[in-house]
Amino acid sequence: MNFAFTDFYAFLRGPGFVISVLVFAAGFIYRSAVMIRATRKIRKQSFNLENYKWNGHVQTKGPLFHRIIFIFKNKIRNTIFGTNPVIGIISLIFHILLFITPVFLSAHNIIADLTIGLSLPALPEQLTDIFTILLLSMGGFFLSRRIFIPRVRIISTSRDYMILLFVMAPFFSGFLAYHQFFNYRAVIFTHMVIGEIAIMIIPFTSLAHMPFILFSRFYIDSEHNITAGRRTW
Amino acid sequence: MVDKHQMNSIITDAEKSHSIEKILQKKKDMIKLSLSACVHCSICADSCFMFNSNKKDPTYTPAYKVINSIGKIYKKKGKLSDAEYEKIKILIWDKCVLCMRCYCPIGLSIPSLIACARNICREKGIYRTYDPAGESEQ
Repeated sequence: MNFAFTDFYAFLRGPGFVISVLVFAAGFIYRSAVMIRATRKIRKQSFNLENYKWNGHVQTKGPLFHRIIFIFKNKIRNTIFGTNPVIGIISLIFHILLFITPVFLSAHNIIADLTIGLSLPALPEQLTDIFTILLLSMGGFFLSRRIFIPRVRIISTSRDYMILLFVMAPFFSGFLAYHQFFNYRAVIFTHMVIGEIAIMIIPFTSLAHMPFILFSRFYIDSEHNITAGRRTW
Repeated sequence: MVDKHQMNSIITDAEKSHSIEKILQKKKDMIKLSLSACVHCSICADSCFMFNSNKKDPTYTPAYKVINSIGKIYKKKGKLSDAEYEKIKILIWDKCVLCMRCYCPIGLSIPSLIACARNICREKGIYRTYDPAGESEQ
């Protein structure tokens, strides 16, 4: 039993993780290729854009701080932060925590250091513990939103609930494992298996919005682009 | 006047279905990608003036319109019954004016998808009719 445990644990810690990252990378590249195939290069404009520029809406006078605020307000007016700031801020914090909590977790970095001798800076354990609780409560918020708000419920399918479950399960099991609730071995196995499955399914499910957003905000031209895009649908 | 039996028929003319398939094939990557990347967050609803001015009726949510128009057409490869096409017509013409003001946090191009659904419907002979009296005379 003990032998089997260490064997499986070693697999999940080493090759299992590498496989999941490779599957993720392959899926990411495949999705990116599809995205490039689905879009086309923007045709050269035959007119001089400068003639059509209208700067009437940009405040050019007044203190710099006011001007910055004005530009910022104009920029976000029709975005999620303008129309629904509460959801906007909650989902922004959710996505930031979703990234920094597992990447800068001290336990993960200790494992990385022991395995390959490299590690990233680690956040204090108490802080990541708070982050996890925050993430779980925000997951609960998204779930209740999906159940109780009619406009979200009408477009929700079983797929959405499954995805939310897959995103929250590694954090929940990680929380249980850190506090050593229940059977530690069972919990840590579940944590590692679900975590690796979650990494693998990112490009193939609606979690594909992770690679998609990079393209849609930086590469494909649209009104809310961060940089000028080169391609269009 | 169109025959009632003909109205409910799911068999389309070879030419029509061919042109529908052609559009679907051309836009396949975009539709597939957009439908799979959509997380069904319904944040697009806030930016839709039709949604806001119709007592926040959930069927006016842009994502709902996309999923139930082009999403359905894509899944069944355009082979929907006329009754289903009529429902789609209401969604993409009566409930959407294609003002292109919808905002998707992920960056999906909702207007492109609705425009694609409109293209397919036009190929099928379904389009916006402004004069109900004129329609009944046909």
